[in-house]
Amino acid sequence: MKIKNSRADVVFLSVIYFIILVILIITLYPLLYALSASFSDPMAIVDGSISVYPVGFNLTSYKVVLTNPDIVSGYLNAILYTVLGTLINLVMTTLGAYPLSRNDFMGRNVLTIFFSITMFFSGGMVPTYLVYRKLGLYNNLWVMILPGAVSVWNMILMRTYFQNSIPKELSEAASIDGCSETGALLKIILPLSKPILAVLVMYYGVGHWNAYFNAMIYLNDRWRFPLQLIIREILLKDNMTGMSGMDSGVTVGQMLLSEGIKYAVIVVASVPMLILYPFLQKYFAKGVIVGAIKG
Amino acid sequence: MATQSSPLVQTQKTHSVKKRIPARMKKNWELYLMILPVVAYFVLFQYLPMYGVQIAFKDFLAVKGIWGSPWIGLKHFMRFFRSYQFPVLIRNTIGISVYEILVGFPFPIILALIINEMRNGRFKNITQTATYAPHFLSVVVLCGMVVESLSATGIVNSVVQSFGGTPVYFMTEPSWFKTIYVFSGIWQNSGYDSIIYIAALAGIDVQLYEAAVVDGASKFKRLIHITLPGIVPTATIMFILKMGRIMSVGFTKVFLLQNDLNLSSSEVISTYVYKKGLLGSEFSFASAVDLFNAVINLVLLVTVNKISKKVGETSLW
Amino acid sequence: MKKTKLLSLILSAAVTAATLAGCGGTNQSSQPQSQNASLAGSAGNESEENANIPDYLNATGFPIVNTPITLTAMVSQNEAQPQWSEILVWQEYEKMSGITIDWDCILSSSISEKRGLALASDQLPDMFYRSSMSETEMLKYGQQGYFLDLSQGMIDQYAPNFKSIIENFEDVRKGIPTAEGQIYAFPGLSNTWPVEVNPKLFLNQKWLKAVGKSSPTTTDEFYEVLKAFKGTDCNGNGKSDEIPLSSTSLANILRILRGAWGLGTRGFGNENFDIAPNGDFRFIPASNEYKEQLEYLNKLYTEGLLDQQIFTIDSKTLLAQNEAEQVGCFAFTNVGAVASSNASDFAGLGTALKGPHGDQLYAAVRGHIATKTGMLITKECQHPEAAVRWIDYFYGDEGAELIYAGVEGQTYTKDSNGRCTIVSEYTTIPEGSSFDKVFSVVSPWAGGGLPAISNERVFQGAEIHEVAAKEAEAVKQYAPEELWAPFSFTLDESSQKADLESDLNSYISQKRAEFIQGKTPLSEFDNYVKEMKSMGLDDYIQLYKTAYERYQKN
Repeated sequence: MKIKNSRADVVFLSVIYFIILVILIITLYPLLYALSASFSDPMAIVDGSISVYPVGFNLTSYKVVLTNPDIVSGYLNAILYTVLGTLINLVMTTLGAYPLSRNDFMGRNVLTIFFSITMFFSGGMVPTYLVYRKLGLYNNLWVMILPGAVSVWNMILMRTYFQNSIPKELSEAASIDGCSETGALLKIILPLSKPILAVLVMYYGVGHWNAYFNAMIYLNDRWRFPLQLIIREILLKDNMTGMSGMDSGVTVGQMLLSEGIKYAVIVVASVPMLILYPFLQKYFAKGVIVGAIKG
Repeated sequence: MATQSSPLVQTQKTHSVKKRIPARMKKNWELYLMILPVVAYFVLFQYLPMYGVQIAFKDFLAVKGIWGSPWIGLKHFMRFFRSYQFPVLIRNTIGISVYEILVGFPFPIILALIINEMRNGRFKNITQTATYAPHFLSVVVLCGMVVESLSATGIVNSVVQSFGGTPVYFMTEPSWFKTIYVFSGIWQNSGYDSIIYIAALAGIDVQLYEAAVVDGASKFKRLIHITLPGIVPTATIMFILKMGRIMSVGFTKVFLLQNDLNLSSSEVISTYVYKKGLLGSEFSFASAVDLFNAVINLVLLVTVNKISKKVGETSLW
Repeated sequence: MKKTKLLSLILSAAVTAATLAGCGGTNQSSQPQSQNASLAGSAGNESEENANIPDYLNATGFPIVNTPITLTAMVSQNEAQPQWSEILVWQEYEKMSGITIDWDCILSSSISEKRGLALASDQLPDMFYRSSMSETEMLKYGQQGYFLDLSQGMIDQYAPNFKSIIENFEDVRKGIPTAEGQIYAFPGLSNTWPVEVNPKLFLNQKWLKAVGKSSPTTTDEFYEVLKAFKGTDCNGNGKSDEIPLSSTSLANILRILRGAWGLGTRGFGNENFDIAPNGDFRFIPASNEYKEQLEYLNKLYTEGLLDQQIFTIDSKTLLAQNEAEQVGCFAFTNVGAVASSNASDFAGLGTALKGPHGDQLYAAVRGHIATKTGMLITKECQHPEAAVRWIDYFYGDEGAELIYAGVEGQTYTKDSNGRCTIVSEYTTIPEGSSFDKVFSVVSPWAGGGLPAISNERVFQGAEIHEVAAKEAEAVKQYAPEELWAPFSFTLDESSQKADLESDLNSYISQKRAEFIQGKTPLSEFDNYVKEMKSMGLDDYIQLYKTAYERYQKN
């Protein structure tokens, strides 16, 4: 349906597009730098001669990264943890958010407080470690998926969405039809919740993809490590607090190698997430609700 | 316009609450069943380990375990409060968070609104992906880039000098620290944070727009009267949640941007605890500081939540 | 949960008791004793100890054990290294000793958490090997019975190499025991002088020629040379981009120049303390001489002679500056790690600079101890004697050769002086790799801090390369006669020290940067000292003094 633009509209749109252009330049320049650096001679990175394009173009950094068996296995593990983890996240978060969004659900405030407290207080690393080990969560797949199955923050976001973006008429229509709660949830609410589901896939997915802490603490076998844990070693080695007076044990060659690898590794690690978002963007389209009401 | 339950419906419910409680619970048994696994998760994974909070009041000796270690009451807390740096830490931590909220909060919203106005689907997708990409640049690389570009020979000073100015040593000026921290964060996270707002915008009834157009409202008017109100509940919740994290300024980024000269502005609670811990496994002390942070955060959250309840319809509970 | 805890506590206690009992020697008390007695072993115990050698063990020679055993070890793995089981040195040593090590290789970025958790949750390996453990951790857990106290006869009986080191090196003997006389760890040691001189001052000889000056011998001459560097287009690029003096940190600059004001008379083992000329125990950052040094550095900075980026600089930036040939003089432990294409322009200063009062001290030196917490044997270890024998090899010449250079003929050749040179197979670096990566297949050295003792014959780091080694030799005569090992503190003292130190160090770092930069004028120095006193400086000094007096008695 075409809407004719008034004069005011044209001005408005121009301003918008100008701002977008500025945003894009500011956003993209450093990313372009990182991309160029990943294809450059590490020495050029160190002495600052890269501005926009690669200097001393070479693929060595990528070669080192892509032939590193730890990185390859890290990649596969990250995919596994992310897919499985996000699936569980979606199910659990929905199971929590839907009841909480219902005004007639008794105890919703008590439960909300019950959940929210965990955002503030935690037992700390040692007790959590001891409990998880007792639960059998050590050095296996589950320790990467079960902890964090529900994020209170995300659950509240979903609850807010259910409360504000699903027309009340629909949920009432469901109960009149004699639909069970589960039925209502599956057949009516969820199809209308594509935007928030897409958000959860994004937020949880990225969360899993970037996660390293539990892997660091609970995983022992190198072949189970997710990508981020491997990368962290490469990225942080400069900043490890060393002890002065010790022989450094590292030469220029290694320093340069690490410099180059840093950027290649980031590019390689970001690709899946950068592909995921455009893929989900269609679920953020406007007018998702319209069809349902008219129907 | 409103799709939330109307006040009228609410009042009707309160009158019949007393009679209906058991009946309502029975009617909603499926909902209770649904939320059961979630509750179980929290009990097992979050509440069970909470017994460890007592470490904050104990002198943790590994050989005696958490239960067996001796109580020392508030000693760790006193150590923390009495530290010479305590006022500086509080000032910097809260200062950074407040700055972040005041300045950084609107950006994802504005970005979402702008993207919402875009017509060309392709261009829109590209913009969304482009603004969201910086989130994946590791904080280590980000800080490296920030320090480099703000150095005396970096890009920013080159621009300053080409306009005839004198170079500014941004990184070693304490007064610049918070700005650098917050704006680099805005650059990195606005796109990612805007996703939830984009989703909220997608949930606004399109018919409202159509009706407004028919009434002759300009794009700008539609923005103010339909779009903004549609995003207010989400924004409010986000705001409340963020207020509940004021004391939690993360460690890595601050640590990487710190140097000897900007410490008066850049030393925060997390970096202080880290430096203390360097001298060895100070689990109890760290736990006490965490508890302190948690209490402050909780108080703030509850306060803001109460205010939000009074002012509008949206609140956490 | 409580029952299992109790049970595991009882079990741990039983194991600890059994282990300690099996250690030999009847001295179980942890009362402070005279060090010489506990280390040398009192005569009365010896016959009993000899009778206690376990059956599985050979008291001397190889193999160490008659039937092969396996020990578990947690180790911090450097990014250049493969899994430690693949390293040639360990494979060779396993054949020799009959002991297989099950290495739990932890990435160095995770070692703090992993180690801390292992200790706090009582999930211990048999040994901690190069695990970045802090001294406080060692003491805290050691006193809870987690680590074997080696001073109770273990060293006497099973560690002859280490024992002779203790007897020959005073700072090791005095520095290793805890405040109460226990020895919980085998330290990381060096007997490589160029490594112990850190940093060194390297002067750009090309630039020196270009400005027509001779190598400076006093701080005034040094200032003149730097000024000349600044005023001349030394790198011939038409730009005034010369950086006369730089380093990888401000701390390096302070450390290397302070000898010219007589500061640091006992080396940098205890960085902020030394003995003043009048014999007083001195806290350096509050002294007048320190103020004078700051004035000098402030002069250098404001005149553009000291790198304006010194407050935020790191080794990568220094390397970049050298690539652009912008550096006239820099302070670092070697040339190879921070200069590449212009590396040959640099030579060591050749002397210690004489200061305004005639002091000509080279203070940037430490004793033999690189780290006190190299290798620790835990209460889980069922074969502690074997573990001690296993590690002791590396404190002798043969072991040092093995761990730093590999297998003779296969990975290195020895010349007539005994100097080990790595064969070309490991010095040709393929693209996308580095020497560290290539050689890490042979030796576990990458990352440093090995519980062993290096020496000039076997050490392969850049410190041993000609320019750095020559400089180290040249300044030897100006180095302090006595070099302090880092002092040991009791747990209580450590806790107090930690509190005071984090506040004081922050303040000192901040203020010295401000003084040098000029942000705070040096007239404020007295206020700065007063402020430190209000932070508890006097208590802090007293803590160190007590530790020092204890150290002296060792």
